[in-house]
Amino acid sequence: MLLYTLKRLGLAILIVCVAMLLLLSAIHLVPGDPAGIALGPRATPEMRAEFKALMGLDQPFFIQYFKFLGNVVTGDLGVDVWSKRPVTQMIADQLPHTVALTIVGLGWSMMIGIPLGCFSAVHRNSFLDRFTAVISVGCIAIPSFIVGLYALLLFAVELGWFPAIGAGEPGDLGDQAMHLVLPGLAVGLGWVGYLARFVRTSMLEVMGENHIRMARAYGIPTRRITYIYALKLAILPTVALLGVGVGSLISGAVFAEIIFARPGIGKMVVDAVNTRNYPIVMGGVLVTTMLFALSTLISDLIAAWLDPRVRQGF
Amino acid sequence: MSTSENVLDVRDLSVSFNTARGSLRALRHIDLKVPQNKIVGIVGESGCGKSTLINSLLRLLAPNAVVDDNSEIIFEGEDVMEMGKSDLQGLRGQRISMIFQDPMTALNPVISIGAQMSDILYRQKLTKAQKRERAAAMLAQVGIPDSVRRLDDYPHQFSGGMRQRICIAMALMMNPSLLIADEPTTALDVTLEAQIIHLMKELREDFECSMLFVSHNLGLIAELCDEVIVMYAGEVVEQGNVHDLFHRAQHPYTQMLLECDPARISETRKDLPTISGSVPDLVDLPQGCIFSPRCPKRYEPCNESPPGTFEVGGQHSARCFKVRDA
Repeated sequence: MLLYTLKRLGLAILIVCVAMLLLLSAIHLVPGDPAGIALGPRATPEMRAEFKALMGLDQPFFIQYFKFLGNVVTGDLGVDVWSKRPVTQMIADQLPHTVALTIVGLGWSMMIGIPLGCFSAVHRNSFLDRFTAVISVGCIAIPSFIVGLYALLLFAVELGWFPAIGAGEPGDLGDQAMHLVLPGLAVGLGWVGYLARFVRTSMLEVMGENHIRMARAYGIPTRRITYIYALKLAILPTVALLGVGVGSLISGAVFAEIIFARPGIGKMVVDAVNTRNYPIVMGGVLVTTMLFALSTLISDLIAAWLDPRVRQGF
Repeated sequence: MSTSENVLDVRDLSVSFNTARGSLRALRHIDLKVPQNKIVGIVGESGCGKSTLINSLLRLLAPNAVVDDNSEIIFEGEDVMEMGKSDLQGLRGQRISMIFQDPMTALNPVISIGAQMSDILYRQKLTKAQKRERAAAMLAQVGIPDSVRRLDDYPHQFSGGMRQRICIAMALMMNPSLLIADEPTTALDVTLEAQIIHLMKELREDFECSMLFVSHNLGLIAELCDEVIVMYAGEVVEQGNVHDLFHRAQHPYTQMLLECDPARISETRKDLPTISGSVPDLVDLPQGCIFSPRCPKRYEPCNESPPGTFEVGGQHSARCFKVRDA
């Protein structure tokens, strides 16, 4: 198990390094001189050169890359070009909001999606199965910002059940939790559909297997067969899917952060891209990539914990 | 417990499946008895209804199956067809248990052996430790070394033969009155097959249960069983004790089946004997005898109406007009 964990950890680090390489290439390939855009048309060549040196853009590509990686190891992500605040500090302020939002979104989608999928598989081809199929496909098809806007209008503006914007009073956990409900729903709803369909398919496959027939022949109670014997196997592909899915949940979180005017990494990176504030872009993308790599790592470890064949294969 | 000497008495069992093409009549008028402490073998080629028969006994048929109203499955004096949900729960795995064909897929891969075995004992008021103790004792009895430690292992850590031993241990956990073995050695190689059969013979004496042994290995049937039932396309075509059936087979299908047994072929031949033709369509049954299209001995009555069951003598009977006219 230890060796397995180390192997996965190595893979996670590799993912982050490759992602940063791609990002740096993208920065170089984007048309337009970043200094020119940032400083405006009236800037002198000296000002531009100074600006480029500040962002490290005057050095060769690979030097920039390894310098960046080297700084990351020491926890230094550079400074905001405009406010001169350290990027590490800015990210540390914003990150908890994004992580909380992603986790709540994940919670919403799992809480609704997995039971819905089990239900559809057990009552296969019933009216409710078909009904959930329509709901699921609907959830997949509706973009998260539409869900966000309507949820905001209905539950916050019309009904007033939940607060509309912001992240809540700092220090007041209850208030912050209330502020997470609607954005979380907006982020997670699309995944309700994916999960319901996915869990249904794996459940149906597992329910047809020999060992389930055997458990039935031995009179094991139906609920136990469904929720222990079958679900423990059927959930495995779903766990893997979710590990990857966190990536798309994070990008969904960007929309939710803008609509609900919440602080967060997403909003910060979008603003930084518009002003070509590269240290923040690099730092923000690095942290989200790390989040993504971490979530696949966690999902692999959960799968290994559930499935002894994975656990002992390494 | 019933006083009758038959543990299982199936009378006039007919099962059909609703399919897109119409009603598929998988079993037709099956009569069979399993006497106390005897092993009854069921032989027949693939698709003859063996599995449907077994599933009917435990009421585990697919949702599109329809069981004919006249059908009776009397198990220890009670009709399984009349049983409610809780009675069935008490029946499955407790009074009737089953060994499946493929030990590689019969055990749940993500639940430890000990947990799967203890789960079968959920009906008994035992502590967790007592259940584990029972499970370990059963494993030891079927010849799994170091049984206490191995309770925490998962199915993939055992070989095929070991897994079938575990399945046998699970089947005998509740000391059932009837054990159904569905081709228990088909998925194993010959050496393991011999070991498993030896084990089953040994355990039968310890546990005193009756057995329904499904196989298409005629040699095994001859070695293990007291009585034999030959099935063809959803009907019982011949039944009798093992000696009569192997030495005085009356039904042409049984005779041909015996000729096709590779173990019986003594000289080197280019082609192995086969039964020509294929199993009839069970949606659209022939008017006469079900075997007549493939039967080398058919004559006029065979095409007119299906033959009834005719006694050959004693407990030996066959569904063939030749027996009546002999």
